[in-house]
Amino acid sequence: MREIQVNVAKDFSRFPAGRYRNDGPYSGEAFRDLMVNHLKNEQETLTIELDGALGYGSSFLEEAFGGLVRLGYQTADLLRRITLRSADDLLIREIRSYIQRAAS
Amino acid sequence: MGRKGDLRRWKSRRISSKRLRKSLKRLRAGRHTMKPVILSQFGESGLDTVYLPQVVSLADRNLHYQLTKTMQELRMAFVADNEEVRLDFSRTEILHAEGMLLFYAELTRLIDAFPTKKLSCKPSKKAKVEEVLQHLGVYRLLGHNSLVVPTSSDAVNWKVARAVIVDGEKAGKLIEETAQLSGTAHSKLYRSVSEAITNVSNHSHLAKREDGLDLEPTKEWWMFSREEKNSLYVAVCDLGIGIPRSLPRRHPTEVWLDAIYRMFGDRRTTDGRMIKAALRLRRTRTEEDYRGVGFSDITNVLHQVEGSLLTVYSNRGKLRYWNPTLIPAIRVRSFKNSILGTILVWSFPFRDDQNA
Repeated sequence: MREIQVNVAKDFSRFPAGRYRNDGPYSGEAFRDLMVNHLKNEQETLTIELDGALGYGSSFLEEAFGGLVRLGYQTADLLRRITLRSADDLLIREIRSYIQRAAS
Repeated sequence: MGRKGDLRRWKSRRISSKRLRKSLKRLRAGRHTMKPVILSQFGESGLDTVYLPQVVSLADRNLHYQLTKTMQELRMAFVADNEEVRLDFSRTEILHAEGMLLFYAELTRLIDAFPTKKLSCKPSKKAKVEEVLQHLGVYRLLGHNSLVVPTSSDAVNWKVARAVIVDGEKAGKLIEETAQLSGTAHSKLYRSVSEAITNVSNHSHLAKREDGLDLEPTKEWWMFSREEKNSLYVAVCDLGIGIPRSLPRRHPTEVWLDAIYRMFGDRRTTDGRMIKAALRLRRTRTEEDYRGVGFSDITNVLHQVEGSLLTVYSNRGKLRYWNPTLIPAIRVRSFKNSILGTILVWSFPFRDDQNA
């Protein structure tokens, strides 16, 4: 397995916002598609560094991570292949809850 | 005149003092006669003059009425046949953040929609108002070459952002400039503001604005921040359909449930109550089960600073929400006129020793 590191602030935007692409360029849907590019390769795992961005709205997070489940990815597979890194534990728990809720 | 005459005079005086007490009571309750002091003049020699009120604010019933009436007159002036619109600030003495934001949003939208309209203005007599209007670029928009150089903190602390998409960078940079908030509070406030503008993008353009202008609905939003030594105000505005109109479209089941909830009380569905229903709404039961989580983000930042307050104006309604940690306090009210849009204002008070 090859580990790919994605730093949201450096590789995407310090100001992520919005749910859909037509909301704005740094929306949850745009970030979801960035993750999908890496997840297509079964041999890759993703480590996402969340710190450094100014903040995350729930619409952004839900579409980015819950949206992966709606695209057909299995919850267990996502939780195994995506590692979330942040000093804020609540943020990580919130993202996991969006993945789990989208599957239910 | 004898004793009977004295008694009559005393009784009439008693009546007049009773009337006076009643009038005072009505004044204090904000139920005094709601008429702007000067009505705008239309149609004089190719010029329409719109007088801005003495206090540009939505804070109480009378001020709300005056400002919404003035905005209505401003819209009428832009669609009238006369080639020039003049804005008269000569009476204006006080500008409140939410009132100024509504005026600024309405004015810039009208200028974009009617670019050929000739504009002019009569400046304010108050130096501070002059500085704010100059600093925000209102004078420039109106073609007035003012020599005022804004220097007072009352003026230069106003910051403005405007976009037609969910532009996190514009909103985020404004938030990062506020020195009194810590990194965590910046992050929470950014979360609140980005959700607010995402809501604008997803809901505000669902139907045409009922302002009689027949313009296409947009996703445009405006943002003000104003930082003082002991306070911070951040406000976001859109001129969309407003929460009371968008809620029944997005959450018809919840609106019905809310009506049933109030079945044994007062059943009138006012705009204020519709905003409260939106606040209560945590999740939607429509086919898109994952949407509608945003309003809790909008209130979460209040946990960061003791005594902070969220005020939501939407169409005819107003909601104030504070003290979320202990017993959340919510007050709603409704006004006669609609602002035809939504304004969210986060107010953070700071003691000298308190930074969030």
